[in-house]
Amino acid sequence: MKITLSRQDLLAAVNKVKSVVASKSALPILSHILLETGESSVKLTATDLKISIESETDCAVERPGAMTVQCQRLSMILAELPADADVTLELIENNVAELRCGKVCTKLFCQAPDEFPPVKAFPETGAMVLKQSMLKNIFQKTSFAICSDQSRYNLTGLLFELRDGRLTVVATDGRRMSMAVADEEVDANDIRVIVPAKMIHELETLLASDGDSTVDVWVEESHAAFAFDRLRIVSALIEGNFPNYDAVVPKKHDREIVLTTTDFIRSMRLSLAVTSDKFRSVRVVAGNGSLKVQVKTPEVGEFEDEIPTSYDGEPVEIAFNPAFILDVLRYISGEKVCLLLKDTSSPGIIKPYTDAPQDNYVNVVMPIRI
Amino acid sequence: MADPKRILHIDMDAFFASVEVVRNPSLRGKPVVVGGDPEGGRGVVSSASYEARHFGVRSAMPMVQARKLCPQAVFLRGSHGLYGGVSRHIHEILERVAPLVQMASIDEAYIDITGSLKLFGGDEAIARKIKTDIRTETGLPCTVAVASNKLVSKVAANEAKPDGLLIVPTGGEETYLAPLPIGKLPGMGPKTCITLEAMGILTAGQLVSASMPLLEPVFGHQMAIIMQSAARGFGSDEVSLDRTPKSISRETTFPRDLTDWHEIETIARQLAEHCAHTLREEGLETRRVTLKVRYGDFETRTFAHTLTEPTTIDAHIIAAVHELVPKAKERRARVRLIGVNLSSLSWNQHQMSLFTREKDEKWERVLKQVDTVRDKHGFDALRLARGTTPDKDKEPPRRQT
Repeated sequence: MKITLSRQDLLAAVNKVKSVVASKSALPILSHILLETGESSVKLTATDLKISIESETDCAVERPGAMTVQCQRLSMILAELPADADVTLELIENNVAELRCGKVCTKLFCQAPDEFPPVKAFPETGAMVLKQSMLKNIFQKTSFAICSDQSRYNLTGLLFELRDGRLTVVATDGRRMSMAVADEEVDANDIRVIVPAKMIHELETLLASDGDSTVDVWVEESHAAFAFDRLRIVSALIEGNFPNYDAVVPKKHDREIVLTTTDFIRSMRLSLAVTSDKFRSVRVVAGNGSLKVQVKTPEVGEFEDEIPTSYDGEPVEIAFNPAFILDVLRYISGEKVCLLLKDTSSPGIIKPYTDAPQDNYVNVVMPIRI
Repeated sequence: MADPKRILHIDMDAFFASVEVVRNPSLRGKPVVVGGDPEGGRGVVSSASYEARHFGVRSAMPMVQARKLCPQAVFLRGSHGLYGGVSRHIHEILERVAPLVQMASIDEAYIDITGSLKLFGGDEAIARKIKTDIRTETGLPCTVAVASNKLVSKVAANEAKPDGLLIVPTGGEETYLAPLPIGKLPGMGPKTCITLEAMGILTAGQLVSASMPLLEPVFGHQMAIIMQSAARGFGSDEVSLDRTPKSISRETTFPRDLTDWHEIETIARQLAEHCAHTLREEGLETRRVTLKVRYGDFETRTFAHTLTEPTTIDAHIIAAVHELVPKAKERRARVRLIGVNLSSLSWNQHQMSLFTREKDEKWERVLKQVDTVRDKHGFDALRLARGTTPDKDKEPPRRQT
């Protein structure tokens, strides 16, 4: 195999796949990326066995074939080469790769390409087509709530559910839950799968934030694939039961507290500053046209604030972890936000607010016992 | 500049034994030994009254040996629930003097009294007040020492025992320590002492004047500096309230090796209950329960279980122990010791959970009440029944006899 391409293009392709390359692994091949030539392109593949990323870029193919290169080393070498230079990659003999750029010549020992684990194949057709920016948006709005505790395996991913054309994503770590609904109808069969956190985080980085570009999505029983912009990410799905999210969203709230988002954010940030690892709690009291915010942290200090609200009903007092509230508020772009409460020991709900609470982004936060 | 710090160290004299004497005044003047397994001979001494120490009985000594040295002593098993209660009472007395109280163990504490000196009229007045208050309210003797840091105050308290009071003035630390044998300094184990003595260094003063080229090759540069600064009386004066334990554990050696796992598990459950109580008292929650087993041939094994979420509830911890028992009894051997250890500790934020069962909420309410009763009347005032498991129906059917 022998190819020539711009150093920029190769480095960009390597950077897109390298996050899944294992730095230390029992299988040496997993620290390598696989390069395979197409007609006038090269496809780079990296995998950690659970998730694989393929990235394709144009190049001049002098001799078709396949080879592997240790990813970390290739990335370090490319980073040092002149930006506008061309590089030639060649498999000069069995298991030796040569990279030439101007007067620079590097030879690297590598592994046989047939040792590289195969990536799960998906058919070329039958994908559902979604907007990249929409998908990125709903992933970002929910992924912070994914459980990082591996012992609760079924919660370590994002629920990806399509029901009657409505796409919903849900994440929970057992203390809070975030749910976002796509703002466009999807024409596909019903789906309910759990996509691992790592896959979601990769997609959040790689998907475009704006524009109308699309992403092709395939979902099978045990795997899912997302293809866009000459990239394809395939991942094994999490097997297990995701909790019934509908059941934890309270249907009835007695108190609807509408707040200015920036006020609420500022007050929660200040609250967080006065809490400690040991006592991460902010107490809020709603009533008489205001939301009183109080923090009393032993060995740290106190904080008090009052935010105006239209709520004038019976006062209600509840405590939360301010970090959980801030995680949510970061993704509420509107001017107003709405906090729905029932009583001291029932979950609080945070939704965006325009004229009425918006149901396309629902966050359930469990209180701290007072 | 801020005033130089004054740190008070208090050490209860023969704590468990003294509590027993207060509880039963007829023991006064008699040698009293508190330890495991008083009838048999396999426990160790956890506390010996000064009368018993007179005969050579020391803490951590096997009970058999204590019995040989002092056969006329009164041997007691002791009640840790009671000692914990007394310890809390002492903590309260200390907090009246200054808020910065660090309980170093059940019977020892450091207090930063710098801010209270003017209020009470100096360090000696504070030391006397504490001694008197503890004596009046609990009937117990203690030794109190004040110095500019924790290291010197602790050494001084050890020297002043029993029922002593010693003030080391600020600036007088090195002079005070100089004549003391090196073994009295913290961190000087028997091996270090033997090495130092072989070099002709017998006292703290001699250690201070020993040359670095002499110490360095033997102990290394860092250790040599640490040793010399300890001998000079340099030490930390930070009295910290925060003391996150790494783990909470309880273990017990049986009077005779056991083979009946029903009995062994009952004891393990009791130990778990103790651990859970301490856990809640410290405001912590646990994620990992370990069962420790020492078999008759002294082989020790541990079996651990990680919980799906942190807990403070006895029932969950006991359920984990129950799950570990079959693994422990796979080895068909007699059991000498059993222990329960709670680790992966974190502060209990009282964060409610989305998927918590109502049962847990109930448990939490019950245990809150249980702990209140125990604070008043000691740990043994309320105990779980043997059969308590979170899911009784999961308990394997018992054989009918």
